[in-house]
Order: sequence, then structure tokens, then C-alpha cells
Amino acid sequence: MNENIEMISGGAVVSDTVAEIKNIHKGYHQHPVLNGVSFSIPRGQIVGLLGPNGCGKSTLIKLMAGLLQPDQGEIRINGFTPGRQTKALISYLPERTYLNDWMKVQDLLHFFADFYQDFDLERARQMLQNLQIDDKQKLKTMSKGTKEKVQLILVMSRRAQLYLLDEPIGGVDPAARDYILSTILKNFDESSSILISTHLIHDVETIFDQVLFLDQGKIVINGQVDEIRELYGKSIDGLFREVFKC
Amino acid sequence: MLGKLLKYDIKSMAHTFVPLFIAMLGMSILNILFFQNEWIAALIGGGAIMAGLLIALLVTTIVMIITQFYHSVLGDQGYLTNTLPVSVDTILFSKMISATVWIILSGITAVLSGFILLAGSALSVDFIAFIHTVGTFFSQLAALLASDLTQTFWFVLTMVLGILLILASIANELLHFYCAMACSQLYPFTKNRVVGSVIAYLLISIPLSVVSAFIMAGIAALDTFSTLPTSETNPLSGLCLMFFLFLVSTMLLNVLLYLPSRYILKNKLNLE
Repeated sequence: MNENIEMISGGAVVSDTVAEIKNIHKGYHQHPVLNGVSFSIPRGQIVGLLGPNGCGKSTLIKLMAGLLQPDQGEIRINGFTPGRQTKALISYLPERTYLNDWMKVQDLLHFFADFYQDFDLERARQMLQNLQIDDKQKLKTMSKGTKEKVQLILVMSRRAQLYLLDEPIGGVDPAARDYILSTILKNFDESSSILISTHLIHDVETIFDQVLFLDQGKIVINGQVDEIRELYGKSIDGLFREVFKC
Repeated sequence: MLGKLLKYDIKSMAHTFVPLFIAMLGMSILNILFFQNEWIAALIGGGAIMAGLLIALLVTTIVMIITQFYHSVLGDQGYLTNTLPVSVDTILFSKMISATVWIILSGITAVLSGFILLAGSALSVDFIAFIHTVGTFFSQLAALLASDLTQTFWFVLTMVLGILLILASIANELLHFYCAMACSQLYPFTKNRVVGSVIAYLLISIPLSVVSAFIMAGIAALDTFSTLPTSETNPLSGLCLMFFLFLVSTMLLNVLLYLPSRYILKNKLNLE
């Protein structure tokens, strides 16, 4: 048997790698966005996807979430190409607020519980309580920041194999940022992985195990955080500022 | 999963439709009171409101089925809808069925309002006689059908085909909208997605009208409805054949609209 493959308690065979991205190309009407991106996400890792605006971070995450189809290359999530099966394994937080305004928070909890078998209702209720969000409140009466918190709570309350978080802390205040980051860490278990795209590196640097620097549609740096710090003699934030200097 | 999705799709439109239905039925009852008490000024006002509500119902139904699909599948909510562990077919069918449910309920509300107004205004003349006439019609129809099993068969078949034809025609209109909106995901329609959808709707209308015209002409040219062997003994058999041919051709058009919509949503989705 492949050394990358191991047995887990339920008897299912799983790979050490949650996501495998091979030579992905994607463009929008002759405008290339990703040019041969390849990397893998090992199980149990928190990976930072870092790069300046417009470098293709969101496109890459959308491809992994199954919202876009690649022009070329291959994506495997737990061995499957993106589709219905992988959507049950991935918990995706987009940049945009996708919540239905007519719903109350409790409606959304039931919606997620209905569609995702791995949704942990108790965990969600606890997080709402911690952030003092009333589950009887309608979304249309909420501020943008509160909606983003609700969305993040819903996404992190799933016990997914892979979390794809596209700018999870961009729109929330610094105080909530700390809570959100600690929530991500607290809810993270070794059998899953997280890919976080962000440009607020300073705030999240400490939680990354691995980082990917994406520039003009290509991965320019890919490695373990400790090794990169040692190799370049800089923090990830410092290195980012140097690599993407204007 | 279809059932779950359908539940939320129906619920999301209920917030707009239910108050409108209540307003229409309530206004009908109020108008009867105005009529009974001969409050002419109120009756004129009530009638105008009633007409306004009827137009609102028609406009709301069309606008809701379009915006519901656009927002939930192709707008920001599409980030959730399209990452649910369900197939594109489930999404499309859920939207079609939920929209059909609301179209039918809107139709029922409009008819019911009309019936309330009619029954209310007949009350001063002879409401009992009115009810009696309706009752007599149905009992005579039942007696006629019970006396002849062949006639019953053709009647039931005509009704079933008629209902299926109505449903297929509703699906045809919905798929025309959905296909046009799905086209907004393709370049150059992505430049302005709303305008792109409108242009796509008009462009799709051209081949759709041509194909529909050919089908109509073809069915008319058959001219067999009155010369069927059974047409002398049962005039409904010709109608049945006509309904059947229209049903088959409408379903064919539906498939022609469904497949590109499905292909685009599955392979060419490009949310903003």
C-alpha cells in the first residue's frame, strides 16, 4: 500500500493529503489568472494562502470549492474531483455574504443541519452565545460585520475535512478577530485541514503551519512556516512585504 | 435533498406571496360588504384596489420567479446554493417546482377572489340558486360520465393531458427565464449580467418561436382530429390527440432549454 495511505478508525482508507492541486490553469476570457499552480495540503495542517489583491487567491479557492472549473489541470479533494461528493467534505467561507436576509439565525442553523451531516448544532449555538448573537434575530436587521460572524460560525461549526476560508477576518473588528482565530484553532482537529486566504498576515501568522505565496497566478513560495522563517530570517509578514513590495 | 431544497425555496417566496394572497381575499370580502350595503364610493375605491392587487399579483409572480432564481443561484446566495452537496439537476428542479407551486397558488387566489366577488354579488339576487346551478352542472356531468365508461375514459384522459400540458407550458416559460439567466455567466454577457440576461432571453425567443411555429403548423397540418375513427362516437378523442401532441412538443422544447441551462450551471458557472 502507498505510504501516503493509512487506515482510520472507521475502517475507511484515507490519504495523508486532503487536497492535491496539479498544474491548474484558469483564465477569464483570454485573461490568465492562474498559470500552472501545484501544491498539496496535508491532513491536520493550517495553510495560509497569501498574495496581493488580484493574484488569484479567490479563484483558486473557488476552483477547490467546485464553484469554477479549471481550464487545465487536476484538483483532488480526498481523492475526488470537485463535485457533489467533495462539497459534503468542504466547508467554504466565501468573501461575500451569502446568507438569505429573510431568515433568522435559527433558520440558518436548521438549514445547515439539514444539508450537512457534519454540522454540529451545539457547537454553533455555543459560539453564537459567546459572541452574544441572538439566534432569533433576523439577518436583515444585522450589521455586515455581525453577518460575517454568523457566516463564519456556520462554516466552522461543521466537522469538515477541509475548510476553505476566503478572507475570514477582513470585515470584522480586531476584538472579534481574536475570538474568530481562537475559534478556528479550537474547532480544528487533526483529521482536517484549513486553507486561509488573507492579506492581514500579521494577525494570523501565528496559526499557520504552512504558507503559499501566490503571485501573478503562480506559487512563488511554498513551505512550512518554521522552515521559511529560518531560511529567510524573517517573519512571514516581513517576507510578504519584501516579496510583494510595490 | 430535493425535498429539503424545495422546502426552503417555497418558504423563501412565502414571505411575499402570502400577505398578497391575504390582501386579495380580504379585499374581495370587503368589496362584498360595500356591495351589500350599497356604499358606492367605497365600492369604486375597493374595485380599484382589487384591480391594483390583481396586477400586483401578476407582476409579483413574474418578478419573484425571476429574482428568486437569480439571487439564489447566480447572485451572492449562489455561493451557498452552489456549494451545497446537491446536483445541478436538484437545484433546477427545486426552483422549477417551487415557482410552479406559487404560480398555481396565485392562479387559485385570483379565481377564488373572483368567486367570492361573484358569490357575494349574487347573494342579493339569489345565492342559493347560484350554488344550485353550479351543483347541478357537476351532478349532471357525473351522471353523464357514470352512464358511459368510454366517455369517462376520454374525459379523464383529456383532463389529465390538459393538466400536464399546463404544467409543461409553465415549465417552458420558467426554463426560458432560467436559460437566459444562466447565459449571463458566459462572456460577453458577463459584462452586464442583468442586461445580458435580457438580451439572452430575446435571443432565445427567436429560435424558440420558430420551432414552436413549426410544431403548431405541423400539428395543424395533420388535420386528423376530426377524422379519427373514434371522433364520431367521442369528440374528446381528437382533443386528446391534440393535447398529447402539444404536450410532447412542449416537453421537447423544455429539454432543449433545460440542457444548456444545466451545462452552464455545471461547467461555466462564474459568480461575481
